[in-house]
Amino acid sequence: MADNRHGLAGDDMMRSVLAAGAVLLVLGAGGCTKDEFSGESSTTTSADTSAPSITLPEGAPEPSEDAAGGVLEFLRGEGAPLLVVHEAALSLSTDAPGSDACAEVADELDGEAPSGEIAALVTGVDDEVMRSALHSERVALGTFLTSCVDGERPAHDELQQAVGSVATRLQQLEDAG
Amino acid sequence: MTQSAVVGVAASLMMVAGLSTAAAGQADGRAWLALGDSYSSGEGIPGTNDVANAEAHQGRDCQRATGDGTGATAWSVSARGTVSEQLGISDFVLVACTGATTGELATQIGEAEDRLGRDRWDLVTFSIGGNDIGFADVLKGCLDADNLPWSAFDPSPGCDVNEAELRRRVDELRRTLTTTYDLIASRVNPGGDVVVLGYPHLVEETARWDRWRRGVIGNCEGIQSYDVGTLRSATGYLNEQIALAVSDADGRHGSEGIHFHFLDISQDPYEFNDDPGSRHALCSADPWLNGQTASVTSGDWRIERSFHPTQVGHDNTGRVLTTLLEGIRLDDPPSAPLPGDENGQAMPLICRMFEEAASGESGIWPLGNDLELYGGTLHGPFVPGEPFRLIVLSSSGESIQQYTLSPDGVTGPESFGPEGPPGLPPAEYEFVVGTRGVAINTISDDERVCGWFL
Repeated sequence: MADNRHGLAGDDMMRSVLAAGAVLLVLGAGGCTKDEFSGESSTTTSADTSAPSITLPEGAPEPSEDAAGGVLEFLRGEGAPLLVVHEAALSLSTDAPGSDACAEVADELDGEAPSGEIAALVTGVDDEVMRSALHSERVALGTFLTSCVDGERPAHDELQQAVGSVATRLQQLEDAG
Repeated sequence: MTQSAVVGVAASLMMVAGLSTAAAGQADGRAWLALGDSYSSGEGIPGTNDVANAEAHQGRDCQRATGDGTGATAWSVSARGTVSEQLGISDFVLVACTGATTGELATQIGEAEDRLGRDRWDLVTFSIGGNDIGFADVLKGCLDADNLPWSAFDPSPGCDVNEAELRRRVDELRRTLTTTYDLIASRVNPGGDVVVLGYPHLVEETARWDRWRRGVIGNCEGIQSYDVGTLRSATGYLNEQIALAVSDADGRHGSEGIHFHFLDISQDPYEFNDDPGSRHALCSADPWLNGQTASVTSGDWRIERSFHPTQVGHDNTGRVLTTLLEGIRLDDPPSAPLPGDENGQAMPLICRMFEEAASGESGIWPLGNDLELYGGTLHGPFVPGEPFRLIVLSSSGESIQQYTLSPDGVTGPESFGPEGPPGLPPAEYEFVVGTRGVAINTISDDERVCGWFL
């Protein structure tokens, strides 16, 4: 399994990711459907940006305090590369990167958080909802980057949904833990 | 076969039926051989034993939930604790191993022989076949877990193998199962029994998923929603073909007193009915399988435990196995072959009438390359020695013939008439009540076209 050998210490990474997630959630509340590549925007700005629009619908089991604590501890330690991926996905989901920028992100992730290692680390998350959300995020990010590096213009929908699910669950875990 | 012969055989049936309810008091000194793959070894249960010398025998790390020194007990171990005394089992050995294929059962038998110093068994239980069709690799493909560069992902996430390919692999396995089951029968004492378990569905039907999972996350433990149907269909087909192979084996070896049984755990205990509380695949309300997890909190890091039954799953499988075993004897005498079996020919197909009658359906049951029996309803309860009715419909629905079978023989029409049902070649048919079941034979050449066992 991975060492905690990344630029940010686990707690700093967690704070950074949660803060960035909050930004995304606020953006989501604004109903931003901007086409990043064309520059055309159909943003429907809402006056109230406090309520996140990307939420898990009712029925998702609430994490218990014990379980949440264990998951957060894992994410701060051995599972830290999962947050590196989440941060990258978060950034791309609200950005309009070109092919070169995507290639740069992919190269950095190949070094810091190889996709196979991430797949293995996902199995170490002892919360089924978070595990499934992280799996979605990994696949969505990989397909987004692949398409982007190939010079295509990938849609942000799936990536945004995956990132939003992870961010929301992460917040739920923080609240419970 | 004459009516008097039918009655005579039926009388034997009645005797056997009467005995079968009194399994208690069987002689002891019998041996139970628990073979199989990871679904038999208990791979999904934390705390399995790393068995000494298993690697020397089978070339790999064989962790087994033997219950020795831990609370981890595979289904065979759970059932053994309940029925050993009743069946007179004094020796038991679990040699199942993760990754085992049909081709490795001979090696497992060898390990068991070395460990217990015997080469014949009275009861053999196992699950096998999942690894023959490469199910673990199929799952890995579904999860897209390969270490690909982030810029070279599969643009179409999900399973790499389609349903047609999986069915082709199952069809190939079916041919292998014949020789595998014959090998096992050769190591079973006359009168002994073989129980073959099927496989549970890994993931609950997507229509039953919680709304948040269907609508937002879209996967269950990494298995995409659009792949679930393929995996469930393939598992169902695998179980169906194993069941047919088991029935064929029972037909081939019944005259030796060796009986094969199929236990479809995908239904009981895993998905007993539509009640959410009775469903236990992944992403059901109460899953009895591990997801894609390394069991961090238990400190047990075997990734192999993913997608395998938990202790609760094994306990409940042990429970349904116990129910089956409580109804058998391990000293059935070799019997006279049923008509049509005189040449040692295998019964070509066991009718699926029970299932279809139970579900209120009727259908077409393929009986071979060019024979089909159209329609039909079997009216239960189907209890050995008790009367039941079989109504056979022609394909046009114009002809309805009803038969009643009882220990006293057959009443009602005994043939379809010289023309036979539409779609069947002209021939006469008769019911034959045997010591182990009822068969429909063609009188002309004594070829059995359909049969089933009590």
